Amino acid sequence: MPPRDFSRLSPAEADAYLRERLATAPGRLAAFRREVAATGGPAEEELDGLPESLVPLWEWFLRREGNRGDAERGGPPPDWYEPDPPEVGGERLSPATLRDLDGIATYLPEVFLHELPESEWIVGHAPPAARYVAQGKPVLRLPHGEELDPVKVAYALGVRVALYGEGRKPDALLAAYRAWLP
Amino acid sequence: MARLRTAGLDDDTIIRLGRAGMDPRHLDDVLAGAADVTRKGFLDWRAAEGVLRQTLGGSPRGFKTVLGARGTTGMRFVDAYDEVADVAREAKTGFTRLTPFVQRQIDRDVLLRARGDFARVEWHFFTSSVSETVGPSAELLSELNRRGIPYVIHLP
Repeated sequence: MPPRDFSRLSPAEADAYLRERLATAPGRLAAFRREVAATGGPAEEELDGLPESLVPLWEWFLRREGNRGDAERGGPPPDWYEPDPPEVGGERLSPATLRDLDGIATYLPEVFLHELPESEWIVGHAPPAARYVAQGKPVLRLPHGEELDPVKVAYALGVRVALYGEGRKPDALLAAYRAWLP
Repeated sequence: MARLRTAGLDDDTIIRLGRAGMDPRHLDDVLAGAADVTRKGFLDWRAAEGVLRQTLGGSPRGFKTVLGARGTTGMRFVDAYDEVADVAREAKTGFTRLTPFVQRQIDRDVLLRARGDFARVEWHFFTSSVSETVGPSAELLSELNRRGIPYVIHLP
């Protein structure tokens, strides 16, 4: 049942996942920048944490998604996504798409932290009765109180493109970023 | 009226809706703009939410947003969130007006969709077994259309 159900994690497990995600972020981000630059996207130095960099990054994703052949769709999904049952895999995002979205979800917080440095990482939490969608997940709490799950944002935008044929404007990622600002 | 018949409603059901105060011409306009029209019978709100989850999947979930937040109201509770398809679905049972509460739900849905909390949002209108009415008022219909929120009508 993808995506992974973080609400089942104990507080200690959720905290450990957050810390691991943050500890591995620099390495994953560096690898993502190299991957983007090597596959026709913006150069590494162009992913500089400024909001405007989200436009060429999303253009890269759109091109890559549009050109992805069947042989390039496989591999393991990110650790926040449970593998799909084979019979429904064709109706869902491919593991390769999910990995690209994971890279975008790793880069997106760089932009928020650049622009809103008072933001802080926390584990998403609300009383169980609230059935909070980000329960147990790493979320970036912005200074005005909103809690951003970057994986969720990247996944939503990817779903629009890959499943619904929407979200193809070059500034779709930038527009989502701006919608989070106070 | 034509769309009601096309949807398969018989005269008795149309008369029943009319006796409950439903304007056939308004209902016709509502059906014209619906993303889909189905038959689900007369339902109470609990049954309607259950049908929504059984037929389209998902579970009730809360989304945090400080938009319009007062006390514990800083969350948007959706009736059925499908996390794979990333669709939030709202169920309304019976004739529904654009009250301040409903307006706040729409405002939050638009914001949550814009910032990528979910990929899509849909509103589903079921026919109430209590009031024997269904669908959005003219004001609510206009607001849903203006804000780009697709809706589905579930006739009796």
